Amino acid sequence: MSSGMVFDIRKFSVHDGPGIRTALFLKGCPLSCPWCHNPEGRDGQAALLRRGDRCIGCLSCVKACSSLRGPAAVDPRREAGGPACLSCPDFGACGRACPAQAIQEVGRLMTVEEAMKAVLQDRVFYEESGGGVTFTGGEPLSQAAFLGDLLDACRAEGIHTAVETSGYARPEVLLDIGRRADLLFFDLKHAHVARGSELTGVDYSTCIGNLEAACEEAACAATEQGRPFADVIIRMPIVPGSNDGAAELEAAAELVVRLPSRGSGGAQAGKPAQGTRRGTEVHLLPYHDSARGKYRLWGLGYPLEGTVVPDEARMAAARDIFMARGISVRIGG
Amino acid sequence: MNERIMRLREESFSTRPSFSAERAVLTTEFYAQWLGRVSTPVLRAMNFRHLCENKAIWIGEGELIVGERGPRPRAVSSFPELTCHSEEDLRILDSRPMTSYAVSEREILDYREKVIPFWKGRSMRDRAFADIPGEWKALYEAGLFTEFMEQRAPGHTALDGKIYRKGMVDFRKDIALARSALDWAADPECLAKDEELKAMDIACEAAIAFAGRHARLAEEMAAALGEGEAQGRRASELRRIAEVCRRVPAEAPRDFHEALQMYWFVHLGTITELNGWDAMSPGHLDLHLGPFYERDLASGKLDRAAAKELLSCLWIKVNNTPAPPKVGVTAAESGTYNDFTNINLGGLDRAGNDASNEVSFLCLEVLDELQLLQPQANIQVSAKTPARLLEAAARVIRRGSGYPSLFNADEVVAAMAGMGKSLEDAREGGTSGCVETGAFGKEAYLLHGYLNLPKVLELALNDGIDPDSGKRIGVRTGGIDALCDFESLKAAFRSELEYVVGVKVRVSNRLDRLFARDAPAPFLSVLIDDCIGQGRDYYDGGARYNTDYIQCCGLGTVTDSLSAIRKHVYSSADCTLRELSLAMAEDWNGAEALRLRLANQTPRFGNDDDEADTMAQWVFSTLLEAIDGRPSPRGLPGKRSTWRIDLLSTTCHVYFGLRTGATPDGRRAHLPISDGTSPAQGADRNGPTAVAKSLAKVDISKTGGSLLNLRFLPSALQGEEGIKRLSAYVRGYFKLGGHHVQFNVVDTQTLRDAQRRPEDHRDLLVRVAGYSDYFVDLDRNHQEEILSRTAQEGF
Ligand code: SF4
Ligand code: SF4
Repeated sequence: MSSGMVFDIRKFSVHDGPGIRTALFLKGCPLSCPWCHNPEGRDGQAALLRRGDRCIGCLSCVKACSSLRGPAAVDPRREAGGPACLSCPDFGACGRACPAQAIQEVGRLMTVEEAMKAVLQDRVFYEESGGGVTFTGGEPLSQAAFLGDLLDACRAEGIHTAVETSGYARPEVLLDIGRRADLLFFDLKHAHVARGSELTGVDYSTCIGNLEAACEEAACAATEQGRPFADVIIRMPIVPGSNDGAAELEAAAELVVRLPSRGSGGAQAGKPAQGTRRGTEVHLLPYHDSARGKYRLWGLGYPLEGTVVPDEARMAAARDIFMARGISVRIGG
Repeated sequence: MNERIMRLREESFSTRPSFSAERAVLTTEFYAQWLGRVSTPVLRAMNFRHLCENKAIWIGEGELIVGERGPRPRAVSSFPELTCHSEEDLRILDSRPMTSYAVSEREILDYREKVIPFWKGRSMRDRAFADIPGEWKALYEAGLFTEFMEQRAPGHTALDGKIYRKGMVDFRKDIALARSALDWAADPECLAKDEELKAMDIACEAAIAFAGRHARLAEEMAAALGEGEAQGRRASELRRIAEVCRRVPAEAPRDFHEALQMYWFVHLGTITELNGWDAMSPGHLDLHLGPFYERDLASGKLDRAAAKELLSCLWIKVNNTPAPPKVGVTAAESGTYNDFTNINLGGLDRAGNDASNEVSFLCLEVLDELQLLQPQANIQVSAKTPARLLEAAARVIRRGSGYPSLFNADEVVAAMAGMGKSLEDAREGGTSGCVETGAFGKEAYLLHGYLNLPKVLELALNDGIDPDSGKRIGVRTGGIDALCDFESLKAAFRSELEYVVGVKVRVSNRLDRLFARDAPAPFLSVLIDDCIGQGRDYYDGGARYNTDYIQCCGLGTVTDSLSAIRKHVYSSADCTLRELSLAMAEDWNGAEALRLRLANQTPRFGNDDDEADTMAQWVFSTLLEAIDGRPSPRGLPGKRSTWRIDLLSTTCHVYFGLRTGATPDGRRAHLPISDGTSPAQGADRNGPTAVAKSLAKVDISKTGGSLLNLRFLPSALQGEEGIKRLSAYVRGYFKLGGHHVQFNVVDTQTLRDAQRRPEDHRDLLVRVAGYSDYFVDLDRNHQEEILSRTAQEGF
């Protein structure tokens, strides 16, 4: 079985799908959205997070490391996680030796068995709540083989799975994952390819194409028995200045309306009966700046400095644009 | 809440508790005249009658349920025959900053002139402590354990449904029957039984007389009212009150109003007779009131709103009765006004069906609307409990007052059945006090005091010497030089534990006998099966079931400490026991790296980590070996009580923390130890499901109760989904065999703000231990302890 780079496992996760869930964070993401909440999840490699504020200067890290000469959490010359560490024979030894949790290893190579062991611990709570596992990241599709194996292992155990994805992958990879998962949270960052590409740093047509393909598959699966495909829920972050203009939101809503949907069986997409709710469900996620502290810890500049968190009225206005088109929409995940 | 309830609630909420010498003076007068002239049970019953006939009675404006223990609402009685307050005690109670009681010069004068001179040397406490072994004193003073009977009578009693089927007149018939069946030819205990039964009879009479006085007062008040609509309305209410008081408790209640008043008179009777721990609880109030409610609703006697109003009146009555203050207090002690009446809702009926009904929901609404300190309620959650009830409870919990707490009814019943109780009796039982399992109306399950587990480990690491005083108070176990491997440390822990428990149990058994002989409770005995049939007092094994408990504190702290030593001293050997010991003696001064390593790099309880959790299992089984099944002298031969363990700490983990030096889990000296069965503060880092999983690995059904505190940030429980998640969390935990869980849903900022501006947060209720208390009434240590609990975010 495969293994992959996991940078966090959070139990009792409540914003990533129905019920009580465990969220597995897979490391690595090719996109670079400025509002990213997990900047540490972009790089696919394990990294060290230095917490100079916690360092008590005990030098245990130095003893554990062959190349350090001062406290790894604070020494500006030979910081843990710096270039010298790339060739470290025992990566993170410094962090494991640190009593103060001043150096944290972010990203650990895990086998499917190891990950499943953590997942299975909360089985009783998934059963009672209709919950399960959510694979997020990073971009989980960037570790598609590992993700696929995890999905299969969960399915074999009867555990509900959700995958949070930007949709940036080769179409066959995305559709393959869609067949092995129960729910896809599909990000929609922008309806326009040009602006989407500008924001994400990748060719955003891939994502939109995949979104259409996934919805098509989901719609067919809903009508054809024995043809498995995950349900699709679209998640759109509402980020002031990036994608929240009225015209932008309307374009997004139009895009959603045109998507093949379960109710319409795919064939009549875009021609729904008057007055009925239709289309794929949409969650609008208000931008918030709670990740700012994390950027600081990682020594990164915060890309959205000055962006205001959308208030309730603004979110309601965004919601109304979708609602006006008969889309089933809600604020928050 | 209608206007009447709003006003009564406000009065109850804002009236400062006061200390009343009335009961003490009446009791002193009575004892001075009667002591030595009649048998002890009869003396106790006659004193009870004396109180019922002579204490000032009170019917407040707008009240529908009547009766107070003190001369007025929020006036608390004292019990000098058990423990006699000194003048200094009274002055401290009046002046201390937290949980104070107003004490007038008049009360102090009564105490100085009448009460203290008579009881000095005569009170139970004085006599009990006159003859206590030195080794007990040494352990007690070092903070190894506490002794419940030092302050109050044994208690934690809850009632079953019999008072809704029988009145005092019926009980008197039962008593007469039992007396006539005494075998004077062959039973050597005949005289004792006859005296006890005579006493029970007098107690029944007393309760009837007490109600009769209220009926007369209500009639007089009605007659004194003038013309006018409002006056007329109140007059008819008063006449109704008089009618109810003539009916109950003499006869069984016929309707909802009578049923509530019946309970309240019985409750008052038991807490006037003696001050048993945790006052009195009605048991499954919804189950008992349900039939009355349905009948009254059908006959049109009552509608939902009127029933709720009456229930609210009962609630306020309970809140009017603050806990009797301790004696021998120091100014620093705070305590709580809560006297721990705990109402069971939901659960199962005797046949094993879901026992919830509309009254369950009414009670929840009242609880939620009144936001009072007392009474508190819990939901007995069985697999048969409807989702609607659990979700309604979750909504109240989410508001943040900490109640209702939740218990696993199926586990509670199984635990009792496992102890040899009949399934029916077990189902009618439940949880009283904080988290104590018992067969309501049929069991004397007496708690005897808390045991400080981390301090036991401290003795094991110090060759039986208390590092605080340098005195040897435990047994010689060799000290660190002898503890060459982990097994020898375990053995030392076991030896110290055996010794401490042995000393504790011997004295507790002695106190148990003292209460049986000198402080029988004939009124309470009428209410508990099978005291009448046996002709024996509740305190002397008359109950159908008898159990004694030691409440063990600090499971989390001691588990983590052992786990830390195993890993860092014996396994990876990154420090020696001597280094560790020295660092602890210095409270980690100069050893911060070691402290952090122990705290952060140790498998700790509460993370669903088998390495730590098997350590908890070892601690638990060691406790069972040391305590479970020890004989107790109470009860008939062949049906004797035995000692068992509880895993709860109420607020004692704060006191025990103060008495315990630094611990090997990196805890600093004098900080609180872990509470109940909760993980040590901050040790759980894997979320609430992991906490539940860890706990469920300990076989709680072998205990009389465990306690899990969880703190949630409000954001984790938002929306309808939040309610569903909370319910599912509880169901999941209980499916794993969990016993109890309670929640604080409050963010850190609110708590900090309450510390800064207490006046703005007078009504912020938070879960303290097995109960909720007003945050601003807690002393700083308790406040900080609550803040230090891991906040479960929901990620
Ligand atoms: S990762 Fe390796 S090289 Fe880098 S600081 Fe840690 S131990 Fe030293
Ligand atoms: S081991 Fe940790 S605390 Fe000690 S000097 Fe290194 S980074 Fe600082």
